[in-house]
Amino acid sequence: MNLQEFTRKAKYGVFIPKKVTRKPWNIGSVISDLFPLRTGDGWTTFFEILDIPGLLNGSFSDTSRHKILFVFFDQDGNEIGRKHFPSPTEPRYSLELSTSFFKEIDKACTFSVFHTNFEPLDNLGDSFLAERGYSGYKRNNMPIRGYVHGNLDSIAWHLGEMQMLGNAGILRRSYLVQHPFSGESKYELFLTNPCNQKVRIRVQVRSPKSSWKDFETFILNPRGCQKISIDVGENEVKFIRIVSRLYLGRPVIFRCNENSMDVFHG
Amino acid sequence: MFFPLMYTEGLTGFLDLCYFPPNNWENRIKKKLNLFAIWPDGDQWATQNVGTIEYGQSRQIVSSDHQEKLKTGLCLIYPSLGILKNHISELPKLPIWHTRIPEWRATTGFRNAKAQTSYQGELFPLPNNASLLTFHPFIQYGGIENRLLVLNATTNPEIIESDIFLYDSKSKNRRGSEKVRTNSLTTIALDKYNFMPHELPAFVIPNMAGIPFGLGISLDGNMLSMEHTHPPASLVLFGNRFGVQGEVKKKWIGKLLENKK
Repeated sequence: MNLQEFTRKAKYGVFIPKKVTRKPWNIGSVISDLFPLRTGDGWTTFFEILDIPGLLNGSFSDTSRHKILFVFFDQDGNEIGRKHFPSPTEPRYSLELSTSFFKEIDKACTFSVFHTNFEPLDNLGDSFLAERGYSGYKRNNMPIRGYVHGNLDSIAWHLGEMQMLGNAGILRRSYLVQHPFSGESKYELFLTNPCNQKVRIRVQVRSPKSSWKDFETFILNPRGCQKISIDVGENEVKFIRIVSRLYLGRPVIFRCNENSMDVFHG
Repeated sequence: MFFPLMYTEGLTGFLDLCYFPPNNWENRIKKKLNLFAIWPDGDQWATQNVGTIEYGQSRQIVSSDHQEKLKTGLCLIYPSLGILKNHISELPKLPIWHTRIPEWRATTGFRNAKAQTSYQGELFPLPNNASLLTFHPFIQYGGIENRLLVLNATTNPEIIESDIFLYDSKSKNRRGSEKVRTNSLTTIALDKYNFMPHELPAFVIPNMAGIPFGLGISLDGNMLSMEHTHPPASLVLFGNRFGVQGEVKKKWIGKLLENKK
């Protein structure tokens, strides 16, 4: 091991002393990301429901259906409600997350999806079934959806109880979004807190020739979600840094123009 | 570690490379770096210095400036302290940036006059002896063209052609097959296979690895949509995920390849 590698490993021990994602306490838990939800203001969110147990089994059952549980959270991480949904008979079901699916959806900022009551899987071993999901976001004046997969393994579910799986430490860590924010665009970053403690977040911005400046500071509750809006002018470039005690403060990013939209994970 | 500049017909590929690390503790290199384009050229990789990048800055590279390097749809961008020979027999092994939590990523994607679509990615050479199984829920309907993009880079420059088989995952009926190539971005038009909204397409390459993307292009040009699908290992977390992936692949690929209807 050379000196550079030794230094890196030593820093690793200081900055990431535990795993980025905690292992669920209970065998038989299932895991979900915390997916940003966009409804109202001209947005619709879809979720691609796939038969994950069937994919793990190597075939889809014609006779048994498992249950899919949607749990919705508000911006402060409070649970708004749960919606049980029988797994569809077809292997792909694009679910529109609207008031007809969940009445109080307008209050929700994020959601998780847990697959439960499925027939035992013989090949899981010590692993846990996970919904890493594909969310489709549509601006209502746009012809198609932008898809993005789950961003952070966030919550375990076991017999009605939820466990946050993200980790935060004592030291502050920076997450620099490796994307030049370019204009003319309105960027909207959705940041969620996957750990079980409140976390103070500082968002900083700089241009290619300036130093970091504070842009926005807020406290994010466990399961909470914050939208950070950043306007970038024509011919302008900005860089974004997220400073917090989160091991991985990685946002989902929307880049919006008057007539188009691009969504991707940080 | 490499960063893909990609090309698919009718769109401009772009790569936004940032020279600052994703975290504040892993990478400390701050020297000016050369950016090399690397692309397959017969039995060797051709290379060309396409500029430099300073610490703290970003550089955009677009496909329209490098069409001659994108005959396979893929050109790798490699940041390097040193100089590469004009032709090399293997991809460089030394990564210039060392971050793992998270990986050092670039923004790469496609654009047209009205829209762009991005993903954050990096590319490590894929193994030669591997397979691909993926389930594809990205087909959209009504005024949209749907494409499958398969990205592959291996250490060796030769371009090897393989078959990709397309199935309806429920009936396991084969809808067709196409050719895919190593060290390429292969574009496959999906709409002619008439997958219905409730069908979940399954794609199998028995003898080649790849990173599969769904690309949607609205016919009015106002929007593009691209995302990659997960490998089967992402259906689970913790434990022996790659053991689980092996089992899942064995079950699905075995059953699917049996069915040639």
